[in-house]
Amino acid sequence: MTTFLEGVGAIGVACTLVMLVPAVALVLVARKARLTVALLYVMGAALLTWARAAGHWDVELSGGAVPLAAALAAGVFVIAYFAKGPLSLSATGAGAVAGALAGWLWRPCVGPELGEILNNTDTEAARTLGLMLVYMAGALLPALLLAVLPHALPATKRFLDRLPVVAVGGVVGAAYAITLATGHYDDLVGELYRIATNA
Amino acid sequence: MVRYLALGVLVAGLAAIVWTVVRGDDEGPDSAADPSTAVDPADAPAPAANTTVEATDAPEAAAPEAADAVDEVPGPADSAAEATLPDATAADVAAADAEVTVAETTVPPEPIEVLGEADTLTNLDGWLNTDATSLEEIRAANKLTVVQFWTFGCRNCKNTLDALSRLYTDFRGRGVEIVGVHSPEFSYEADVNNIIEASADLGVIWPIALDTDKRNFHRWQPGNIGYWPRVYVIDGDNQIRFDRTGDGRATYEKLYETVEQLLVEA
Repeated sequence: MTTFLEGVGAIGVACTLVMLVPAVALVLVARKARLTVALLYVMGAALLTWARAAGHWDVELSGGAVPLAAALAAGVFVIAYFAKGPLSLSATGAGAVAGALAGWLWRPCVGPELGEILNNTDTEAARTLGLMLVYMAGALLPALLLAVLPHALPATKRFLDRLPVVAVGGVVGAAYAITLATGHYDDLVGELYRIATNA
Repeated sequence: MVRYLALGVLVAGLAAIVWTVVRGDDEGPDSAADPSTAVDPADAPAPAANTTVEATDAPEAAAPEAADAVDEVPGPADSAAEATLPDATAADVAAADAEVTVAETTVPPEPIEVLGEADTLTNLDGWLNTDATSLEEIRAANKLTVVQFWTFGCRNCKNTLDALSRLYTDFRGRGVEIVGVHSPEFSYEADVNNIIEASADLGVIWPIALDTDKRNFHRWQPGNIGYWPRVYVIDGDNQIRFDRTGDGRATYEKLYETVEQLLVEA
């Protein structure tokens, strides 16, 4: 529970917004598979963050990896938009790849619980992977709740399915891909955070 | 049924967010920012007017409170002695206590592992709060060097500053220097004027190495990882003896104990 709540507490931190903003945008875009995309995004992000900490994924985001990451970012938004249903390969694939991409990009500000996870990935693999999933569910809770919303309150589905709302997600997705390609994604999020919080 | 389940998830999730906001998560119970580990600003050494920290200005080492606190906690041996002597006389209990005390004082602490050779700091954009121009220079003048990668906009980094201030107050006069390697995540954190202002506001009086393009941040944390805050202890032989990530209170208590133990060994 503490791990989950630390993740929830990290929602308002700029470091976490780097990962959260694309998640929310992707959920807005994936009209027919919001929950699938959100859940797989959480899993993908948790798995890759854990794999990096454990030393199983050490591909640096530089050189040829940058356009690849940008292409993936753009691709998952397109695929998620055209996903035919919650159990479709396109929905699960888009969510998982988008989450993994976020986990690859993420450089976290580390609290006590996340610190314990990251410090022990090599000695307690299964436990730390489970805890990472819990942490990530907390950190990405707004995206999960947005995905759950149409199921809990069906009246909101019509609003979320409206083209302008979906377009907002698409615009954020495009900005995500473009700023990744130009190496300015972190800076954009940082500036938006600074303006929003008057930091 | 699905709808009610989704509604439950929605309500529980919103409750978690509201609870976290109301509680004020930036100083959680396990964070190093816990008030019990904070240093009274009046006890902290004042920064020099020219922002250069002089070794001779540092206060004398204070009695380490952490060690006292550990001594006060009854260990398992105490409990065992009490449990096996329900009908013992006062003399027996005193004798048992004496034995326990002897046992405690003769057990040497676990040796602190050598984690590898420390890297250096290169391609820096400058230093603040010191006349030194390299990590080597600082290392040569001290028995131990605590290197922390941080950035002033990082909430978790800020949570560690009270614990680092305490460490600085207690050990600066015994040959321990802290080097805060400022590695900004966002562009506004890279502006040197913002760093100077934030450091003053946050009470960071130890040397700061400006690692604006994060070259050292990434070289010290190889394998495509990069965490704030991350803290290392480097001994006189340039070996890393402590390496932890995060702002956990346990981490910074362990840091204090490690520094204390390494000073005894040095």
